[in-house]
Amino acid sequence: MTGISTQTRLPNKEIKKINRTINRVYAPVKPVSYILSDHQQKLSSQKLKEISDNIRRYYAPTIPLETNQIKLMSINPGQIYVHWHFNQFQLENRIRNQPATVLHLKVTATDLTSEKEDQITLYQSSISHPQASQTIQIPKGIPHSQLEASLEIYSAETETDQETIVKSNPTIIPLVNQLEHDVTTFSDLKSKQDSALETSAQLMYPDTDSARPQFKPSSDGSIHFSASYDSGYGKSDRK
Amino acid sequence: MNNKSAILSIVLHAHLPYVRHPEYEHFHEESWLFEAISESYIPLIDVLERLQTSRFKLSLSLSPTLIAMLKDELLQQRYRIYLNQRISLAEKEIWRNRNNKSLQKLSRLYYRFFQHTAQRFEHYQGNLINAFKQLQQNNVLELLTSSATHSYLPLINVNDTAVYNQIKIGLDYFESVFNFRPKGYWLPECGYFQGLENLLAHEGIEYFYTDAHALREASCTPKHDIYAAIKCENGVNVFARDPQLCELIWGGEGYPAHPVYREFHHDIGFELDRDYLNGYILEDQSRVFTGIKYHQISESDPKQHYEPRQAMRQVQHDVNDFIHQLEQKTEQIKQTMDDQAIITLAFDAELFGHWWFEGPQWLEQLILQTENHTAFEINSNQHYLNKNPALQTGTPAPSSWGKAGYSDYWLNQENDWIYPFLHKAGDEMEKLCKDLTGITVTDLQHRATNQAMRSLLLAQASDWPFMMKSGKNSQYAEKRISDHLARFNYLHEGIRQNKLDENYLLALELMDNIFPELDFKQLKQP
Repeated sequence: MTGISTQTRLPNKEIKKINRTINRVYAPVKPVSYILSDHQQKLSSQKLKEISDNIRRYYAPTIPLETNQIKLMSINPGQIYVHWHFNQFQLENRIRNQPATVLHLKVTATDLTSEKEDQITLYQSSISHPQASQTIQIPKGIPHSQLEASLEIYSAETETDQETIVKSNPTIIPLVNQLEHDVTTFSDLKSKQDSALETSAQLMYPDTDSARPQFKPSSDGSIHFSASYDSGYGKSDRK
Repeated sequence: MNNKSAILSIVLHAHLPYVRHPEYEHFHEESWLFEAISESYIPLIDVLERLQTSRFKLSLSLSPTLIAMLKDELLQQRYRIYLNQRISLAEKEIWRNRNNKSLQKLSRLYYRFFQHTAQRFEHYQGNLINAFKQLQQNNVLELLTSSATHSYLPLINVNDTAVYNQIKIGLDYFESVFNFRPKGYWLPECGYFQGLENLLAHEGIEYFYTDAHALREASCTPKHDIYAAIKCENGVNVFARDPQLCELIWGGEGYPAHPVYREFHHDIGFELDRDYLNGYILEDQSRVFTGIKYHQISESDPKQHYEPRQAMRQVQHDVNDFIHQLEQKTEQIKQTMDDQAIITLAFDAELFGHWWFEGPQWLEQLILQTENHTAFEINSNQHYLNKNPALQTGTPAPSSWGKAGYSDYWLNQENDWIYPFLHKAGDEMEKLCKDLTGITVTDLQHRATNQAMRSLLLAQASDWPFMMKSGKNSQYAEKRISDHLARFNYLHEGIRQNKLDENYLLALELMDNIFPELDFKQLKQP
């Protein structure tokens, strides 16, 4: 059976036993496995809250240091959002061997209107934080394209050993990007790529990459929120 | 029946985030559901029942989270308590206003309103799904649904399975409740990205809704603007809402803003002495909406008392105006279009009744007065497709119905910090499912993996980033994301390290009891 059982009740004696176990096991370290024989029990509200609080306390969302992750999202026709997490241990290891190591964030675009699958670099910049996020302005006039972001690492001294660490999911930018601005061909853009790259720092928005905020759990749940649910119904900013 | 020039499709999208807190004896946010039941869902059901002999069809999208809450026995029981409190408060108000005829009349109105609501609720054995089933069977409703927890799909489309799981689990759940799979689909917040239609087609969806610019900026130039559907290359059809007509109802200066209509924000819960309200506001004496509101929107200071008859006269006036606007629009469309046109109006269902108290009456009068109209009929998008199968082919543009038309409302400086955590959990869930596929898992691991999926789905709801951006209930939204991701982490780690605590798992199953038949082994990405 994999469904949810709700038809059971936990005796008080059992609750006390669990309480003792939780107090012993859960403070101040993470819980370890323990098995109760008669577990198909319904738990009281108080017990549920206790478990919920314990889980929140010990399992608050984090991103492990060894994660290599980069994700790309389209905000609107003129902006994309990238967040990345570079493996801390891998970076430290590399810096030990090659102190001049540089981390690079790169965004490329593939022209979906061309059969040649031409690709240009829309944005590239060294990044100072191995874990951060950034909003990037998309240059005007990009044809219907699929964007992809990647993290690269290389030595600034030799500019060799360039290695792509991780690539993001692809994202297609809205067509209005093409309609709103002067339409440029992909090859035009390609020829302008070098100068575009020189000014890529100016495309950063609002400034340099910002370290990603830590997860910020709020109140302990005892707070109630008096406002009626407002999903924006009837509000002009919704539409 | 002859083809009329246009089909007017009215689509109501009913959705609330999953607000069910068995870990508390009382939890205020559950009243979001209770207010919507009293003020929107039951009044709309009443209207549709009264109109069952009329020729029309509305489309109603019920989000899976709302379906689950309407079916939930704990919430049904708590709603009964909530409703009894309202009846008792209205009675108390009748006595308090004994020397003020105008107010006492309104107190009596609320007393009757809550009594009627209780009676209607019990008529359906406390389960409004029964009412929606009945209305669908009687052919006045075309039922649709949405993604599992109303996730804004363009922003979780960063790995291979997150969007698919939201779509499939939502549709499977709808089917388990209503015994059929809908053909139409409501994209949460009309959020569309290119390629989404392939996942929808895989799950049997034949059409979905977008905002106007999705069609106007589509890969083809739409011949008939937004007044015909376009067909994606895979055969799925796309409709767009008419922003101009919707604005008449939903805009800041729309019909609901008329001074004689009932004012939403002036509620006795914020106006009378706390001592008097004891038992009807929160235990910590925080003020809350009681649903008893005595004033008009009127600009006068102090605001005038609400006059139901005056409001009903205004409803009639607004219906006439709307029909006039529709006639003009239909005439305008006819000049450039020989085929039958489709005019799609889409709203949150809770606008009718909850935010706009007179909204259900407006809808009722609109349906009654257009029943025999020569130029248009109120019917569903499915009906339009049956009669107009030959459509232009194209791909809509990425878009939403949020402010500015894209993803700005769900991704900005107020809420962007949630995405690295959501995406990481999405990747981990995907990998976990892959790792567990084809191998024997214990019953406990199986249950825990299903529960981890529930936790992830609940964390992905579009409501949380929306609240963070709007600044309303943002603390609650942060707590919900934090809780669901922590629960996911606990389960993920427990499964990976084979250190699951069965009582903890049971507790999580009891708290997040949505999608009881969810089975991660059945989720096979196309």
